[in-house]
Amino acid sequence: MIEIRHDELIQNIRTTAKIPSKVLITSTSRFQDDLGVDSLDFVSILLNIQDDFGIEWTDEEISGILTVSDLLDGLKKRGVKLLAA
Amino acid sequence: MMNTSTSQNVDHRNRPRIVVVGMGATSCLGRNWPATWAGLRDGRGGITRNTDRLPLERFMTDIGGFVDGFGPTSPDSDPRIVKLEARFLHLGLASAEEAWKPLTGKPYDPDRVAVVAASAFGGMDLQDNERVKAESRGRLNMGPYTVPGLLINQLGGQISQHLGLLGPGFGPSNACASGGHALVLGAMLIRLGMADMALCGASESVFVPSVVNSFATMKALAVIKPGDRGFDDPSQSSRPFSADRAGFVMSEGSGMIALSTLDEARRLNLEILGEFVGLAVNSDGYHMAAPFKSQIEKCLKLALQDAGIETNCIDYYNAHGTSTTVNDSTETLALKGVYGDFTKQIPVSSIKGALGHSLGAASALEAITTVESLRRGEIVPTINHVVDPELDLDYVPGQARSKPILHAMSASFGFGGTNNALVFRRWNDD
Repeated sequence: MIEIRHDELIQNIRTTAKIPSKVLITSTSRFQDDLGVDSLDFVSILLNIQDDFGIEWTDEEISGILTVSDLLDGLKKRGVKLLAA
Repeated sequence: MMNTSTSQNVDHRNRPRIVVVGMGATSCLGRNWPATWAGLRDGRGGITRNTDRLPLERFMTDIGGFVDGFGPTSPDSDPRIVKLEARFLHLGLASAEEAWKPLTGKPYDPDRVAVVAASAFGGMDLQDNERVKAESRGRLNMGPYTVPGLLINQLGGQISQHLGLLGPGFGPSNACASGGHALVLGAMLIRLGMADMALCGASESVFVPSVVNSFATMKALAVIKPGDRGFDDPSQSSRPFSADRAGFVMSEGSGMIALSTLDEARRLNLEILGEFVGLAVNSDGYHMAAPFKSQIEKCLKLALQDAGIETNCIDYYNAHGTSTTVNDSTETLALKGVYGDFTKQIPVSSIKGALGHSLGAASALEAITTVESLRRGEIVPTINHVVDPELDLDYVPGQARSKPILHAMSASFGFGGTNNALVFRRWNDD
């Protein structure tokens, strides 16, 4: 089973998309509307997760991810165990 | 002789006079133009061995010219373009901002400023990095910034975006003549009346195996072996016009020049660094890689005609001088073909001994060096020079030389058979 620390994942999102530290990232945050993540940065986030944790994504999964929660759910469906910080 | 005085705003062919009002550079001798010039004038070499950038498992040489502290992985990377992980963009934007600094706060019309930013290879480093990553990825395998980052015209795009310059934009690619071609194109836009000013130049960073190793296998690149004087001291690897020249040494860098009509420069009260009086470009129609003497000669003559001066008016020639056997002999013969008996009175120097060959950016750096030489009356040396009996011009070996210069020429020649020649004139504001 792949284990990912929740805070590391959030930091990965923040770093990849250059989200300012003053912007809070929560599970209900919408990537585009709340975090200002455009489509290019969104794909970069998924690529980094793929590179760091070996998780690949299907086109259907990608199009269904609108919030951080969607992303976390997608990871859980792939058998990923999310660890608290 | 050119029949203009500084009081006239048009040249001998009734075209707007074009002056240089800003210059910027990055090179293996420094992160800006003053540091680069100081190194060139002092005869320092910037070529080093770097096994981190050029590991011998992947590259046929580990010697090159590297710019410190720039690029996407550097902690002082420009945050505005950090997602575009192509080094030529980072180097190019830095030198564009340096060249445009004198225009800060000046009331110019941004729609009347052209941006002509060239590169031979663009973002091939980013493409190569992404290709390596893609090998271990699945269906989602290529970063979305790969295409925007590798486009050659993205450099002009980023300069336009971050400096707010909105006139005509071009991203020419003419191999190792790219930077000089960019200056020609910028000046043409001004002469045509399509712009009052033009920020022109080139940037290059392409240390990827496909380029480095192909240059090596075609015997253009120096692959320094034990016993060569460059092996223990890599700064002696690039040796233009020398008896023991063994190919060019690849480097990265950028050079940008801000051009303006004389009218606009005066209106904006800008310091004038030199005048761009003559230009020419032509094609060889001859060979994919070899220089062609007769067409180079023609190009140099066309630039003199464009400037409206005779051959004996040139006080300094900044050479393409790559340190390859064929270029340096062909260029020497072409100079004799153009300048005749006067050739031996012209100091000829190549900065590629110090900076290596930054490919598309090289001729922009050389044009900047030529303008600085005019301003200061100082000719930078050709370093690492050992006399070749067959190359008998004054190559200004080893040490800088003081000499008043009124007119100077810089020329460059690229694979694909493309040449340019640029003539600059010292500015006397009287």
